[in-house]
Amino acid sequence: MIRKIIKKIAIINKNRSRILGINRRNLEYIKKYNSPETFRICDNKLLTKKILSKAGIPTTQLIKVIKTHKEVENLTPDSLPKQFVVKPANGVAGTGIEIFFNRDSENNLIRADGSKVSFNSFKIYLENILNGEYSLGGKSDFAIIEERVKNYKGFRNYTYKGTPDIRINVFKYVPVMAYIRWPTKESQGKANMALGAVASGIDMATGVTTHSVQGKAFGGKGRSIEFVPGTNLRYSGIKIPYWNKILRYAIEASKAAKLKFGAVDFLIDKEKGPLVVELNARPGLSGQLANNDGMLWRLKKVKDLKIKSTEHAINLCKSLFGGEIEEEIEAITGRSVIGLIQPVKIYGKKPNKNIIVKAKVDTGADSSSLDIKVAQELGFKEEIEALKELGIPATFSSIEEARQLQKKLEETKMLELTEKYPYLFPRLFLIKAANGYTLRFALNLKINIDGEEKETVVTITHRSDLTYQMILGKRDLKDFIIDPRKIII
Amino acid sequence: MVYFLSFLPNNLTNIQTENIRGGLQFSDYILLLPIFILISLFFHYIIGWKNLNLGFQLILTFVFLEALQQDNVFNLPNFLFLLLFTVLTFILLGLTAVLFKNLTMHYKPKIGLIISSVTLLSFISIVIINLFIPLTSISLSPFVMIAILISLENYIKILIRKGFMKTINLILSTATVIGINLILAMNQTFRMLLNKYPISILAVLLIFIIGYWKAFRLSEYFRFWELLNKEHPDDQENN
Repeated sequence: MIRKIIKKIAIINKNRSRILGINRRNLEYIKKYNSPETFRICDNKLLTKKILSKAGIPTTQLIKVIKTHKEVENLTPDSLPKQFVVKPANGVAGTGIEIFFNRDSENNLIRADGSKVSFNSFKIYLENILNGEYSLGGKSDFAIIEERVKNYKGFRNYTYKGTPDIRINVFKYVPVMAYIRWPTKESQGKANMALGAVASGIDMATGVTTHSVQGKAFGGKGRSIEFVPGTNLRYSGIKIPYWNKILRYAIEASKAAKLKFGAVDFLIDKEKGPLVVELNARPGLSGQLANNDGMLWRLKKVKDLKIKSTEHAINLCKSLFGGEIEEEIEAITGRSVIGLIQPVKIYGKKPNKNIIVKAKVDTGADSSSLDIKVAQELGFKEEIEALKELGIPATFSSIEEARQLQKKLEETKMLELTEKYPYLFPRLFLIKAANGYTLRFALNLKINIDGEEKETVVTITHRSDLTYQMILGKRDLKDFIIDPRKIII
Repeated sequence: MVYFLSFLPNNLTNIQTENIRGGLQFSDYILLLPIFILISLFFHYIIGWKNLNLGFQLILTFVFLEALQQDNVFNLPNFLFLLLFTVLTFILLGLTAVLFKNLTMHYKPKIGLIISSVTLLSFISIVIINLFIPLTSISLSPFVMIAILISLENYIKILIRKGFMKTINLILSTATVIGINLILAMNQTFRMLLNKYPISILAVLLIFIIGYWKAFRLSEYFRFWELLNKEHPDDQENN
């Protein structure tokens, strides 16, 4: 019992270093990385729109900006489309936003829940925005009227009336976490977790939804949810369309606003694709619940990296923080997913002589090969010296000549040597090279690829002038699935 | 320092305890302030309770403190009356805010109108209550009640932005913090210790520490419980 408690405390203690809490977020990230100018841009939706448009990032189309009471007075139903959204320019925490879906013959505006708002009441609501009812400190404000985004077809079965929004958390212009918020009946068609919307984590590499939680009112913790209420549709496994574009826009939008720590919110329009709707310089922490993973370890990974370009940032976020889907593949197939360049741990002759090398995955090669210098460092100097004494030529002009020597050595000298040096493999490998044929000796080695240990035979050759000191051949790749996009730093 | 903080203000100003009110010393008010701030910050940054703003909490704490203690004795009728008045004001304020929501006028006059209406309604309610239950044993300064009403501007803003249930939640947590402040302030032994030892200086130091507090709030352990208990295969490999 006590052991269990101690183990649990140790796990909690370890996990604390992975999860971002609100105190740390405020002190170490928001205040440290975002400038007053960034706050000014992010807190003003109109300014955000201007900055984004200037940077060529698509946003929702602006229909009108109402700045004065006179403009409210002169506003007529005909000057507005049937569907639109109204937002206070300096609104706090999403308050004061109204979405109108239609207009009836008496010019009443119709909300998502079917309730009607007379045009006069609509004008009063606009006046309230101008009077600062929803703005920070009650300051006078503007009302922004913009197009209503038409829900992407593939999302319709997962949402209740409203449009889901996608949030990308960025740090130092690298996307670190993403989730999508699905409007539900409980949230009255709003993508607001505090009201009961569902949030699904998104795998950064593939843009596919993973774990989901339903938010509770009063800011409580969310509960895991698997199916869309009343259906057998799963929230997990949904492919977010335009995923690469979304990542690119998130990086470019954060660069345009100099938003070093924050979030970029997207809506996906069925015709226009992803549109940035908001930049947030004080993002909440619910993404961690949706992704069932902490954000702090991700921020730590990015902290000291230098980002060269948008492409670099995309590749980094995919390789560093993708993998949820990879884990699923591994669970189904029982095989690990590795990249084209894979670190391999090679166990030396003595326990303290282990070396980790970057190996190139080569599905064209039958067996793996290792640089002779690395083999020496691993403690196989004696074996190498003994083989040198055999006087095997570097190359053979004909295959017959090579085969003859191979047979002769394998039947005589190699048997003697393997008795003396058990790490030495008794056979020689005939390899076709660019300038003829070579005979390579091999060692029985223990290696570790992506956490999997195995005993294998590795041929030894000169690779010191090549980029990679090791090649992983087919024989050692049988237990793995190769993903060329996977980059290991 | 203790002398400076406790005895000096009384002696320099020549303000006697009785001149201020009841049993609280002049120095008590000064020395209690950092304690109240510390308690409020502790609940916010370490426990993770969301409260209404600090100034609002302090005003309400001192207002209640002023009303509660007379001659160093806990005045129950005053306390109950003030509680009734505050609850009544909160309810009326909520209803009036909803009622006046659609009025087309500047924001500040609207707030002014809400506060004035609630003040009048509250006093009318008290007059009506007085018809049934005579309030002869209540001795409160009108300033106390006006201070409550004015400080409620904060409450209206939150009510408009966060909705009724969230506001109630905030009010309950704020009321708890104020309650703890009052229990401490009404305790004579604590006040004696406060005057004798540099507890207020310690409170200032603790406020400084909280200012740099980066660890989890207690509420976050509940919020992230599943994540905190998750075992990561990577960790095992690294080990």
